[in-house]
Amino acid sequence: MPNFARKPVLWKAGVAAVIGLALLAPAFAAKSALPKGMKVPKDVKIPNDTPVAIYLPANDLGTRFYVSSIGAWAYPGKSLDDARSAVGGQLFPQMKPVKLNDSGAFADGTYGLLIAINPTWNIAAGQLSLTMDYKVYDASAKQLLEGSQVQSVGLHSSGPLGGFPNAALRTTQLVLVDVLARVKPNAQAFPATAQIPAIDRELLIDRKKAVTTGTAFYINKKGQMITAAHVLRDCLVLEAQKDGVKLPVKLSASSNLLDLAVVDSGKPTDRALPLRVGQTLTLGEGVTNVGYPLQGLLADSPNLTRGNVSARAGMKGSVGLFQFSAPIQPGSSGGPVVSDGGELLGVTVSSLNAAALIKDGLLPQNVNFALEARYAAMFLRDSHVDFAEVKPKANGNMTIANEAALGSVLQLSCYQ
Amino acid sequence: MKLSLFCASLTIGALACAAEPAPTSVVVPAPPTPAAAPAAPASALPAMSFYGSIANDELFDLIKKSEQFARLDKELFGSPLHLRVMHTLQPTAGGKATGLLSAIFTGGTLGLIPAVTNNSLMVTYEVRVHGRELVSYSYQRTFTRAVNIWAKDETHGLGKEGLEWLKSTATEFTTAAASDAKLASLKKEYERYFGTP
Repeated sequence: MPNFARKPVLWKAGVAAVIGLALLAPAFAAKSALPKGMKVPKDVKIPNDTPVAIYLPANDLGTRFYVSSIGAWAYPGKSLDDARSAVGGQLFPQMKPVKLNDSGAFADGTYGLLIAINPTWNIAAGQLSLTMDYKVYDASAKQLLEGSQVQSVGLHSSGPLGGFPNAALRTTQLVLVDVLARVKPNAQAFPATAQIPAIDRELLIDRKKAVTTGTAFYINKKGQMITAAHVLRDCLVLEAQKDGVKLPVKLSASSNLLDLAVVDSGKPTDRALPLRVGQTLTLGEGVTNVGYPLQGLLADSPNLTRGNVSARAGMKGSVGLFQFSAPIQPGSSGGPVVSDGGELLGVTVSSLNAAALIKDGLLPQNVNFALEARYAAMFLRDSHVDFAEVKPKANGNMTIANEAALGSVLQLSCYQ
Repeated sequence: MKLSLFCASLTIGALACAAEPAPTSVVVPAPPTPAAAPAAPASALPAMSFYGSIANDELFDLIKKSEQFARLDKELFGSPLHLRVMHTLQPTAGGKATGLLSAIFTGGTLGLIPAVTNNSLMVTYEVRVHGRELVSYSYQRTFTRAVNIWAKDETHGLGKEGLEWLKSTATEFTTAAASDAKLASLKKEYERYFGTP
C-alpha cells in the first residue's frame, strides 16, 4: 500500500502548488512590466493606474546638435521625449506630459501626482552620462519626494550616438521606478483632482540657474519693455531685475519673425526710451549699446559699449536689420541701440558667429546686428503698445545717450 | 558640462557666411551682368535658406521647382527663415543581426557576395523662423538593400530605391506645405513688415 498511501500526499502537494502558483501568478505577471533588475514593493501595481503628469524643460527636449566627426545629428532632446513616452506609457499608462502650448499656457489635463524632472547630460572620454534630478508633488502641491538618478553608457553604445536613447531610457526607468517604490501610488490615494494649467510654475522650474538671460528696456511709462523674442522661448517664469530689485514680468506680445517681444512689469516708470520721429538712421552715427552680457561670469551690472552704425543692412538674406560696431556678448540680446540724442535706433538681436569664422581663418570684429526701430514701431502699433516719438536732438552727445540707455535697461532671466 | 555648451556648432550657415578672401591682384575683371532672375509667383513664400543633411542638391532642385519655394536659396546666410531637411538612417532591429552575418559573408568572400542591409530611413522637413521650428513634416520607410562593396555608390548610401523614395518625399512635402496654415500666416506677417519681395 505504500504507493497508495503516497498518492494523496502527492495529489495534495500538486493542488497546493497549483493554487500557490495561481495566487502568485498575477503578482509576477504584473511585475513583468518592470525593467530588468528593478524591484518595487509587492503592493504596488504595475502598470500603475495613478494619473501622473510629468514635466521636462522645453530647452532640454529641443536639444540637438551635429557631430561633424561622424557626420550625423544627435538628438538628446528627442531621446528624453521618447523615453518619457515609452517608460511612462509602460509604468503609468495614464501619464500626461506637461507642455506649453503656442499661447504660453499649459495644455489641458488633470493629474493626481506631478513629477518634475531636470536632466543634465555630460560627455567625457567617450562616456555619456545623464543625471535626472526630480521632485514629486501631490495634487495639493505638497512635495512627496526628491531624488536624483544617474546612468552612464558608452556614447556610441548600440550604434552611432546610440548612447543618448539608451541613457535616456534607463535613467527615466530609474526615476519612475523610484517613484513607484517610495511613493507607492495608486489612483485611489492620488485621484486626478488637480488641473495641469493651474500648476504653480515655481514647482517645476530650476531656480538655481536661468535657462537664458538677456536684456530688456522700458518702452513706455506703463512699465512695458521690449526685448528679443529668442530670450523668452518656452519660459515658465520670467523675471526682470535692476539694481538688485527683482520684478516678475509677463509676456504681452511676441514675433518670431522680427525676433521681438514685449513684456509687462505692471509697474509704472519714468525711464522709458523714446523712438526717433520717422525712425530714420544715419550711416556712421554714434551709438550706445547697453546690456547684461555673460551672466555668471560678469557682475550683474549693465555693460555699456560705444560704436557707430556701420551698415544699413545685415547679412545676405537678412531683413529689417542694420549693422553696428558697439561690442556685444551673449546676454546683450534685447538691449537698446541708442543715438547720441537718446533716441532708440534699434534692438540688439544678433552677432556674426566669430567662432565659426575663425575655423576658416577669418576674425570678424564688432559685426553686430540690431532690428531697426521702424519695425519695432510697426510691431508696437500692431500690438497696441504705447510708445513715444521725439525729434532728433541736433546737439546730442555721449552723456545723453548713456544716461538714456542706462536708465531704461533691465536684466531679463528665463526659467524652465 | 551642460550639453548646450557644445551645441554652438549647430550654426551651419554661419560657417559659410564669411566672404571669400580678397584676391591679391589689383586687376579685377568686371563681373558679367547677371541675368534677370525669373519673377517668383505670387504664391511663393518669402526667400529662405536651405540646408539638407542628405542629397542636398537633388532635394534643393526638386523643392525649388514648386511655386511655394521658388525663392529658396542655399546662400541666404542671414535669412530669418530656414528650410532644413534632416535625416536619420538606422538599421532595423532585424537588420542589425542580418547585417552582421551578411558582413561576415561579404568579408569572407572578399566582397564577391554583396552585403545585405535593412535600414529605416526617416526624413524630416522643417521650416524654422529665427531658429524656432514653425512646421515640421516627417516621412519614414524601411529598405532592404544588397550592397556591392566594390561598386561606386552615387545614391548617398540609400540605394536606387531609397533615393527615389527620398526624392518623392520632397514632392509630398511641397504639396503639404501649399495648404499649411502656419506657412500662409508667416507669408502674411512677412509681407506686412517687409512688403512683397
